[in-house]
Amino acid sequence: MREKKWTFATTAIVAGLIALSAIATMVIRIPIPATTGYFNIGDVFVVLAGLWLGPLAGLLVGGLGPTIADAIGFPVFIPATMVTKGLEGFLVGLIASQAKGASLHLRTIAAFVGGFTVVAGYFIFEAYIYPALGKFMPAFAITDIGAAIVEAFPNTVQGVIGAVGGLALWKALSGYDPGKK
Amino acid sequence: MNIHRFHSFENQVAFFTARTGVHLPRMTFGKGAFFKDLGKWSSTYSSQAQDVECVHILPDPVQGLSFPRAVDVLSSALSLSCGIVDTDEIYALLEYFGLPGSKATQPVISLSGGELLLLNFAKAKAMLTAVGGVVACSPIHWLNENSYIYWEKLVDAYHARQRFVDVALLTGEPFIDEERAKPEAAIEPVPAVEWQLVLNHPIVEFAEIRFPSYHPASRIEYGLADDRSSIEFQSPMLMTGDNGVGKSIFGKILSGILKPASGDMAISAPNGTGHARLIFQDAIDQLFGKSIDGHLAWVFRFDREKGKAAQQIYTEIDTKMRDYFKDRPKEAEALGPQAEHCTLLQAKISLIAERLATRPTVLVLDEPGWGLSGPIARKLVETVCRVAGGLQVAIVLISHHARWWTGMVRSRCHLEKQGHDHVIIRKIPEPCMKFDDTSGISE
Amino acid sequence: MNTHTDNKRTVPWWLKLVLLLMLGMPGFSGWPNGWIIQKLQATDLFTPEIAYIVVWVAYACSVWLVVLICAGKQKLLNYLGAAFVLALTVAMLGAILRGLFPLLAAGLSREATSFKLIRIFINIIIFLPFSVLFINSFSAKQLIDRVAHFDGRYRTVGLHLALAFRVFQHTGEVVFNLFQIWAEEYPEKIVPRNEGSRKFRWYAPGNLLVWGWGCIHAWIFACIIHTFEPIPAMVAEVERIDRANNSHKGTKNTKEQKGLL
Repeated sequence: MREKKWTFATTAIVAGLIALSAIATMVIRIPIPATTGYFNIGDVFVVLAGLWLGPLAGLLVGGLGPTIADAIGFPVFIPATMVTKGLEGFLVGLIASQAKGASLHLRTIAAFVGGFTVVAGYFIFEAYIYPALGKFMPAFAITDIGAAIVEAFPNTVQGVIGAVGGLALWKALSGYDPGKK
Repeated sequence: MNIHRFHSFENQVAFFTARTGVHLPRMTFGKGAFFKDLGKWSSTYSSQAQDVECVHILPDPVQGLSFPRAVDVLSSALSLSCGIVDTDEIYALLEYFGLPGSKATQPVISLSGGELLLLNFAKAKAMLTAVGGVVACSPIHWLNENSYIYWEKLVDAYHARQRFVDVALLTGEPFIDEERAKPEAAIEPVPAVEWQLVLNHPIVEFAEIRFPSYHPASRIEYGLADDRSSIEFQSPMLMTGDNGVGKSIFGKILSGILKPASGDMAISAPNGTGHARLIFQDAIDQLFGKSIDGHLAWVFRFDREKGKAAQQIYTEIDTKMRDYFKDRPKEAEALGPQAEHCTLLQAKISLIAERLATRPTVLVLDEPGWGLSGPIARKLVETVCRVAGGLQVAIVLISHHARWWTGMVRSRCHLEKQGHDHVIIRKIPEPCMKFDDTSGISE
Repeated sequence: MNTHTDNKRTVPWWLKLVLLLMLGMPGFSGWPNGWIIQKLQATDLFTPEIAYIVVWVAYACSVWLVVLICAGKQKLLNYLGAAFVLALTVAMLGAILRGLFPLLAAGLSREATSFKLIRIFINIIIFLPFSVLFINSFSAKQLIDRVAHFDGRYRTVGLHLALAFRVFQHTGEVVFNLFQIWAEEYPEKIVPRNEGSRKFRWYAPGNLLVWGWGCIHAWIFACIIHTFEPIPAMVAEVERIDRANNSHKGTKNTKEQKGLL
């Protein structure tokens, strides 16, 4: 479907993935006391969106789904999540769209690049951007570079789970070969 | 009206897909097959219209309603024939198909099976001038006899405008396929199980979110006729009532899924006093996204004894059904291969076997005939009643098709509305049966 | 025919949006709760932690009151039930994690870590009911009606948005329906119905892990499958609307012309 134009089917699937990524982010939340952030499995659907439907879908699912979840309980993380997860979905989709046929190699690289984006993105926000914003808006003064280093570990685990889970779901969905009836 | 008859749900769905181009992913094969189907749909999906636009009434009628409330569904349907929709027209359509105006703003998901079908009829009527016809799967299955007239009205309207009406039926469905709906033969009496229902005016409430205006919650208060507080039944018991009266909701209260806001209800049966177990109208959903085998394995993961019991019950019912199919090879497709559990009938047998293995007080079968042909549904329920009788489990059938269960049920109750939100449960005498040598049972 | 007067009196979507955003303002910006907390602290009657809890719990009560008025007692209780279970799970997991991996607290004192978990708890019990109210306060069809009268690509964009909104709403319905199915199968919700004999302890650590992982796995896939199940039919219907609207201009026909009655 990636090569085709954006259709109502694409919209419906993207909307479903946004909702599912929001639910997955919300339901399994393991808080990281250092930053008030949390570990979750919403990345599975972000990676899946990028692999299945391409960069724009990845951007939308990553930018909206986990952000909605953050609005329920963790509103201060909305900017970091929107940018980081949106970029994660976009990069996965961009790299995966270069893959030929059902080839798994480039898609695996894409999924793990997405995982790395999560680690790097949150680190930058928590180590530099939030402390800087916190000087003007106290609500953002919740992290520093030490806390960001600590959270890099659970974020790495989260990134790996997202990449592996997203790849597994994509593989299940790509079971149909249009060439074979 | 073009009637296409099928012996199995799977073939009915295959016909619908071929006729309309709408893919319905398979649910009984587990997640692998589901994802494959979804991937196939998304890979081959094309936004091109079919040669002739038509209205779809799906086997699960809620799936054809793509908007949150009846007013939204009808407004979008009417917008096909005119740009500006008058709200009066929406309410006139609802009234035309026997739905009260209060249903207009109720979430579609909360409507009963029969109401969903009536709403589908209203939608089809609204789209009449914009489409070439209607393709309907089992369009009256969840309807009460009083409501068959609405299907006739819809068909007449389509015929008057020279539009086609294609109906995909499961053999022996009542009314449309009336001749085949007659019970085939007299059956031996099924074992009786005595049980008692005690009601202390349970009330269930349903609210609708309408920010910022206050919208009062709808409520149903159940009570027994003649101000009684308890009533005795003999299993198998048949529960009937108009569409939307609250039969399925009562089933959910019996099984403890819905907790009354006030009042309570209790069951006293040979197996104890606990809650009933329930097979939903759309039983496939109860597999919880798993395959038939996967579901059974998961449920009994920590209880091998009950798992074995469930397997034995499954085999017993399966064997009886296969015996039945020996003389009816065409119908055997409904059960599928013995080695592979994949059909709706197999899913229902496995869900029933799982519940019987837990020895509940009562097993409620909500529209057990959905997705099955008349004769197969009758054979299945008869077999289940026999197995349940041996386990002292009382059976409650919630169904509109009383004729299907003639000669099988031992007691019967009817739910009827009194006033705005009271539902009275009345025990009614089961008509005397006489056996006709040539055509089976007649009342 | 007077049953639909209520429907006609529905508040305009933009007013709903403004009112809901005003209600959610403290969550998005911290104002005015932060200001009130400062004032309370200035009285020297409250520590910063107690002032925070007092103000945010009072705000929680006002959000719940709005949900009660708009959705009724039963829905509020359902939402609060879900919110408290989620909040408790998060807080307990946080507390366990703090004990197992002290490093994750990054040198914060035990009290400071506990207070952070309390903040998370309060945020969840406020914003879960609020978010559900927010999502259910708008009609996808009204959005379609509004954009259906635009010309060209803007109308199509509107239909895409409306479809997305409906699918999103459907996913919420799926989750609640799955809860009903789960409740029938597992009346005690988190305990397996068929626990086996006393010799076989399902709650032994290994079995508990299997059970927990199996539940998560089942829920993830059930949510995915039930979310996507009706999408092909939904897409087909919205496409029909799109095609039909492309083929006619917005004129009001009489009932007789449309053959309605």
